[in-house]
Amino acid sequence: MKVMYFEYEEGCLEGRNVHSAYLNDTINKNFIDYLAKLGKLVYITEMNKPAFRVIVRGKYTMKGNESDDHFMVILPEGDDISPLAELKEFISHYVG
Amino acid sequence: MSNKISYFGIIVTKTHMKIYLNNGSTSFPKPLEVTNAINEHLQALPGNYGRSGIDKSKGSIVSSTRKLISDFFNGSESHNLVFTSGSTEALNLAILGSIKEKCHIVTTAIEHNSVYRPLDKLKQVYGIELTIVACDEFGNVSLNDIEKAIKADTNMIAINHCSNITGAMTDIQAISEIAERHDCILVIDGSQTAGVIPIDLQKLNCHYFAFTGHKSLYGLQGCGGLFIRKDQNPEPLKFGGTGFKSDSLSQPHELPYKYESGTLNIPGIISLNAGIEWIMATGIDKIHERKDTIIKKIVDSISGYRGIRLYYSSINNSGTLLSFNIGQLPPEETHYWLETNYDIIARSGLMCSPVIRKYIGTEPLGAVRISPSYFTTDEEVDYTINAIKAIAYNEEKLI
Repeated sequence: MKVMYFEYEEGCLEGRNVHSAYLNDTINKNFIDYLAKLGKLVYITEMNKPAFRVIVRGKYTMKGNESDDHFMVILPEGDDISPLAELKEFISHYVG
Repeated sequence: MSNKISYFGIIVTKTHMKIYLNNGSTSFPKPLEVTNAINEHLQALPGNYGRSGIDKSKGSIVSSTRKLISDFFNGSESHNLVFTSGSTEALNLAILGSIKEKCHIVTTAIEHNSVYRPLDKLKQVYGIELTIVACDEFGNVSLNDIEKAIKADTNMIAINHCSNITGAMTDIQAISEIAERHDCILVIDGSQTAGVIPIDLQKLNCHYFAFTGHKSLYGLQGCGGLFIRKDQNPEPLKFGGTGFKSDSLSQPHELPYKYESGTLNIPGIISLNAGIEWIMATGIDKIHERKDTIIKKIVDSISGYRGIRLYYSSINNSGTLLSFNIGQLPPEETHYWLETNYDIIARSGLMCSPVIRKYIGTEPLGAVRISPSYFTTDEEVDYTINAIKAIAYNEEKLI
């Protein structure tokens, strides 16, 4: 899996350092479990599409839905976006 | 839910169509008549109202639309209509164009920033004193409180006809009488009511009535207008070419040219024309009844379910929108899951109306708002109800 690009979420009320990660493939449960290696996973099946939230303590939170080609990354307030590069690298090692 | 939804008899696949419940911001879909009118305009030779355009017929649409809108609001005898880019420009013209010295102004807690910010500008420039009259937990403003707020030097009452958060309607006829009694200029923000309920400007007798075209008048974004009572003479906010008295270096005094410098938004005006024609042909009451029925069904279905809080009262309500929150879930979180998991487009946050949250209990982050259309199907309504309930059911996991 590859992150094709990150898009800054302008005007996002969740904070001023929120980004969407766009992938070259759709998200499935295996990929969610892979992301979960980074932190604590909350996986919700009782929705239209299974939804997930991965909390990487002290660093960032990821959330999204299965079958989408993107998910949201909520970084701490500020200008530091270096965790995105680390995340991109981590995702590049995922083999579905 | 079936993945087929019908718009204008055309069956589309749900997977390619989101459910749009943000008509309080901008109406969608537009009636087919509006789309057709715009398409036809864009494919024809351009005209330029008041200028030596190629096709003169493109000029006449401005005059005929001005008359159509004036008649629609029964303002032809009492008010002049000036086209603007929407309510914000209209309210700026009414507020900044009329107040030129220090005075006291009364407004309310249910206003949009399109009222608060021009008033704040007047504070900065002239040091005006502003009283913001409180509302109750549903966004209702007491007439008595408005009258009590008026002082000897009160020059203006600027008031929202309908809260864009709770749908609470103000009794603008009664407020007009209060304004008349106290010799105050009355500015009404009709953003959420123009095209929703019949408005009779001659009877209302307000000094200014601002409206936008892209909500319930089914026009394009970027069009709207200001009705200016014929005894009012605000200073224009913009100056320039009008296609009228071009040999003069001074701004014309004649209406509407005095306030319509620059190229008019002809596609927007054409869309307004078609939108209002469609409302008149369909029936404003029928359109309103459909939206009201949807809101009441959603209210009845989700009220009291697992920590859902509604900011709604059926009394004095426009029946066009519904704001809510779910348990401890921040509104933007509910909005996110509605949109990404259920393909439902809602709106969340303060919605440019920051003061009301203190009174209705939505501090600090506001609420989620759904605002259906006349075209919203029963199937979409049921799907939305189930989506909200599913998010409420999973609230603790989603926080």
